[in-house]
Amino acid sequence: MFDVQLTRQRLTQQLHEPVDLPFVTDFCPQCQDMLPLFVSDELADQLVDSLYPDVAYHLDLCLNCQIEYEALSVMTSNALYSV
Amino acid sequence: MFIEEVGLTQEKTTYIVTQYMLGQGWGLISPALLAVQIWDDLQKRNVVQMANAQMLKTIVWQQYAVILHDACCMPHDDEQYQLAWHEFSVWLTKQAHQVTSHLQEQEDVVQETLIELQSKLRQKGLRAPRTLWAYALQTQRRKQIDMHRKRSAKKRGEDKIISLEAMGTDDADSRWEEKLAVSVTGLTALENNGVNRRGMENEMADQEIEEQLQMFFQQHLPTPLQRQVAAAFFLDGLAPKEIAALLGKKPHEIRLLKARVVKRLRNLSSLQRQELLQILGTAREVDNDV
Repeated sequence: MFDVQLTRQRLTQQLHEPVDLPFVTDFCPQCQDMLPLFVSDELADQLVDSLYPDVAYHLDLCLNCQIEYEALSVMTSNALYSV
Repeated sequence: MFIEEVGLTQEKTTYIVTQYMLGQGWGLISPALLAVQIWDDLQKRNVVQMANAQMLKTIVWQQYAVILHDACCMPHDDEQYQLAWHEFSVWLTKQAHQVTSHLQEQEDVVQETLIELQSKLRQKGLRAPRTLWAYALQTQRRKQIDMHRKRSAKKRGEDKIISLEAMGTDDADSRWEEKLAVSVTGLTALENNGVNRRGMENEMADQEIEEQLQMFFQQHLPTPLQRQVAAAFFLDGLAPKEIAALLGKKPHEIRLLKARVVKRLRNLSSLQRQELLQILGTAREVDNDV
């Protein structure tokens, strides 16, 4: 369960971000370096949105990192749970 | 949705751990020994009745990642070191089909990945060894992309980059959502999940805000799935894994769907966005008053 007020505050902040974000942002390399941690802990049922709020926030907005996140989530889940 | 039987015995734990480790090709520690350690830990934490096979697998891959990581960081002449890298190499080879179907390319990708991993682990290892599997798979994927780019450049005389932005178009979005075909049972469960909403002191005001948000989502989000996910996040305060469980999906699918909701809301006209901000602003004021 999330703090619904915090979730709404984040949405408010996201609505104030520029609409045309560049495809690659300054935070992308840092986000993608954090993805193994984010994906591993998400698979282990940790509340990653609270543990890594910057990554979760960025993933809502950045298509570039969403693509990396999706690929890594699928690969890791397949590798560790399809046995 | 498949509902797994919960509650474990020690025998069942040993069986699941052993089968899982055999399937993965992991043998640096005896499965029976690891199973005993895990069983003791589950008992200490008093979670045996809640545990299931999925949870056991998670515990095993987390613990085994640390074992393999530490063995890979040992002195080079150590027997465990040799065994660890051999095992890691076999595991990576098994996973290489996920990045390319070309056999020769799979071999090359594994070799390149192993070289990079050895260099990384020789320097200082990973900050969080439990992430070893995801880290290795990310490295493997990056190597494959690099190799593919180099080969394409060689073939065509120039590096052609596929436009990933194209994946963000509305057409691509709706195709992606079609793939996430909604389970009717899941949606009904989500609709009926009002009991999970967080209580607030100012219940009436909160209810009004929720109604406004719900109406806004109804008007401005194009698909039932987007509306359901928006409601689950911004009205019910559910986490991706909770929504995923209700819809019979994976958490990453829900997170990506939420990203599409956010994108849609950000792309509304300034007037519509202002309306939403006003509703959200009221919510914040109410929250501050409480």
